[in-house]
Parts: sequence; C-alpha cells; structure tokens
Amino acid sequence: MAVPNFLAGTINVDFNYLSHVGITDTITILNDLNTQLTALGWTCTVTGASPTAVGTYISPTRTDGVSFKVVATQVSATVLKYAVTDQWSGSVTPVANQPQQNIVATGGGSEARYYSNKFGFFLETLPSGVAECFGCGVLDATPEAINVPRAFYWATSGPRSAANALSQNGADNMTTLPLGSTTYAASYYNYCSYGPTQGLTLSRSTLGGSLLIVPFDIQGGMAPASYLYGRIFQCIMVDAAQSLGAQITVPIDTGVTAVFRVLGCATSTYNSFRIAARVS
Amino acid sequence: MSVPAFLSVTPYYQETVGVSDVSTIITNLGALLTSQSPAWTLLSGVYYSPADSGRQFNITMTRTNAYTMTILVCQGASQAVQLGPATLTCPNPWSGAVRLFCGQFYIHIDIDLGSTTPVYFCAGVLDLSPEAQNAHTHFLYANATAFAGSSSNADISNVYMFDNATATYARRRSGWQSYQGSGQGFTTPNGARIYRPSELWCIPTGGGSAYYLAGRQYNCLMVPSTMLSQGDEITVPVDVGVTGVFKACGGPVPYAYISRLLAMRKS
Repeated sequence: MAVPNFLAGTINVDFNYLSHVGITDTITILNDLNTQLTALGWTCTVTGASPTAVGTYISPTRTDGVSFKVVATQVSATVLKYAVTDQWSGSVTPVANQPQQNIVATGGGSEARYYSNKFGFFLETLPSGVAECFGCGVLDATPEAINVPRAFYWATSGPRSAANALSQNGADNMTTLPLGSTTYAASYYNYCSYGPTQGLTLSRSTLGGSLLIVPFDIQGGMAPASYLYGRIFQCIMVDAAQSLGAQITVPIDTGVTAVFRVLGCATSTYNSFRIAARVS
Repeated sequence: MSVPAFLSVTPYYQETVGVSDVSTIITNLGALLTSQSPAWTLLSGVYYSPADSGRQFNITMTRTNAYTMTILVCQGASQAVQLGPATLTCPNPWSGAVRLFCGQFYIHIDIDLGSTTPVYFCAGVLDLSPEAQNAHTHFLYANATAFAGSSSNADISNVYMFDNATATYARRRSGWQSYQGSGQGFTTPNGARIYRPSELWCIPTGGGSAYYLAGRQYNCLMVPSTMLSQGDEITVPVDVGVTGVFKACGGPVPYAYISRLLAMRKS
C-alpha cells in the first residue's frame, strides 16, 4: 500500500500546525499565517499596520498552473475578512459573500489554530470558546490529474457572513465552482456524506465499535449527473460526537499514522459529521 | 494490497433468456445453490446458506403463479427469525432474461424485462471486515422490488434489516450524497466511473435511534446509473493485477437524484 495522495507529505515540509494562544489583534493572525505558509513554499506578504493590515498568500507555484491566492484583510483589530481567488482570477469567495472571522481581545485574548499545507489551510479561532473556522484550498483529484479538466478550488462560506453574522460556521457549507457554471456558489450539499441519507442520525462508527474515518470529498454539478471533484488535502471527516479539539490518531498506511484535530465548526445539519485537520 | 474481503468470495452466475415462468427461477437457483462450493443445503423446501462464524440465513421460494413468486428470508439455522417475505411480480404474460448471482453468503435475482421496469431480489449476510465476522448479529439484509405489506419500496436504498430487534424496511444503503435530493459523485469530471462497495447501516440492539455501519454486501458494487444500464458488463480492478467482472443490475426506479445501480460479480 501507500499513503493516499491527499495525506502524503512530511510535517514542516508539506504541512504544518500551530496553536497560538492569547491573540488580541488579528494582525497577529496575518503574521502567523505568513510564517506558517511561507515555511511551506507559499509566497506571502503582510502590508500595513493594525487595524487595516492586509495579508496576501499565494500557494506554491506548480508546473501545471494550479495556484490560488488568499487575501486576508483586517476589518478591525478583532475581525478579518477573506478573499480567495483561483488561478484564473475567479472569485472563490464572491465579494458579496466574503467570509469574516472574529477573535476576542479581552479576557486574555483568543487562541488561533493553523492547519496549513501546500494546497490550502484551515484557520480556527476560538473567541470566547466558540470555534470559528475558515478554510480554503484546491482539491486532490488523484488518481486523475489535479488540473484536468481543471483544478477545483474550495472555500468555506464562513465562519461569519459578510455582515459578520456567525451564520456560516457549518462543516457542510462550502463554496465551489460547479461543473458547467462560471460562478462560484455556496452549497450545503456538495460533500459526500458517506451515510445512507439525510435525516438519519448516524454514528460514524461500526456496530463493532470502530470509528469510521473517511476523506472529505467534494462533489457537484447538476443532479443527478453530479461529479466527484476531489478531496480536501490533509483533512478527514469524523463522527459528530467527536469533541472540539480532540486529537485522533489514524493509520494512513501500513505502520504509518497521522494525527488529526477536530475542528469546532458546527456539525453537519443532515449527516452527523465534523471536520478534522492534520496536526502531525 | 490484497483483494478486499467482500470481493474474495467465489461468485456463481447463470443467465437464462426467454424465461416466462418463475418456476424456472426457483429450479435454476436451487440447482445453483446446492451445486456450488461450499454448497447450500436444501431441507424441506428451505435453502440454508453454509454457516460461517454464526452468520447463516435461509430462503423459502414459493411460486404463486407463472409471473409471481415470494421469497421468505430468515436469519440463522431455523426459520424462527423472519426478515420479510419479498414478492417478485412480473408482467402477465412475460418473457425475460433472468440473471442469477450467488455465493456462500448471498443471492441476487435480476430479471431483465426489456423496456419494462426490472424486477429483482437480493439477500445475504454482510462482510464485517476488518472486524471479526461475529462482531455483531445484524448481518442479514434483504432487498427487492416489493415486500409484502410495504409500499415504500421504489428506491434502491430501501433494504430490510433488523433495526434494534425489529425487521425494518429503511433507506440504509450508503449513498455518498450530501443530502437526499442532491446528486452523487459516481463519476469524475473526466468521465471515469467510480465504483463503491454497497454498505448497509442499521440500529443496533438496544441502540436508540442512531444508525451504525453494519457491513458490506459480498460481490456487490454501486455503480453510476448515468453511465451504465441493466445488463452492462464492467471489468473492475479489485487488486494489483486482479480484475473482477460485474454486471449492472436493474431494480425499482431509483429515488430522484440517486444516480446509482447495483452491480453483481459474475466472475
């Protein structure tokens, strides 16, 4: 066997993780992202000063042209907003729906957790203990080429709306560019749930008691002819009963394990799961 | 790598064309079951599957008339625990191709009626791998065009299993869709078909209302209905340098947007 491509790589070379507590100004997040992503080969800059600083992060250049850009802008010292652009300058996060993310500066500040890799990242903040998750990236299409017929980029719709309402913090609301469309769109229905159907309460485990771990696959297109676009790098889907921050050790090949941490974004409305991103 | 356990069972297959009486199905399936290895046992009109780690089931096939038959599925070595009687009703009169797929752990009857909605039946015990095959007792399933006393059957997802301790007809096959009304990614944007195991979920005994993964059907795959039709034959790599041949099976009209069929292994 071999490690699946979406989980392949070496820590601090292909992916990394950082937890930073006590953050009182979102410029710290911009600088942390700069450090984390630069270490993985991203091209990053942070310009300006708080509370109007801007971080620009461009994923590593590939010979197949796959690349995307994330611009994180300080709305204030406690609020960030994100704009993600694909390799054709298409807005993965349309202007009217650019996600925002908060921290709380009081009471010792907030923790931020950075789960980064060459193909995307999750950034989780924990203001007042309520996790807010933003993520974006390009999908792994293995065994097919990542750029054929084209690369599929994704971003979370939140955690917060463009009006700063904490209404888009679900694990099941991603923005993608549907096959056949020219505009990115958010959907609650574009992941492969693995479970039987909506409305059933699932325990993502076997009757024998084993926890089920599956890739986070994203699909889309016009039903019923939907297509599997690919899977999120260094990310898995776990049971909704897993606690925020819980660390899960997963065998990813014979004698090889990886550690994932459960993100705190809201569990799926219909399909009883949480997202877990790789730590080591 | 190695061949997955649910594809490691020897498949037996027979196709008969021009069938016009269900008695042919009963006769041919009975002969196929009792001649395979390990062989099923026929006792007083009941066919018993070979026992394995406590997993065993039996079926009783009854001809009602030339176009109707019923199949009673029971768990274990006796007929005490009944999962449900399936009813297979063909047009009157009818003539079609009957494809029988079976093995130590399963039976699948696929009736190809041409332009008419196909009729099918399947039942078996699930592969519990990688857990021990005796890890739990919710291993029996049955799925058919119709079951006596049940009207919610026009959906390939609906399968009879024991939920808690009660035989229940429910939408329990892994769908891979995100939402009941959404499509499913059974093809890639490049046009490659995606084959997935057919996995079934149920409520464990004393388990409340949550569904757990019970196991996967032997020699059975889910395949894209947008690219395959009943009777289509596909060759699927099941290990490095190893392939299996499967035939797409018909069934009730799938629930809207559920873009999949079952395919059973032929060889």
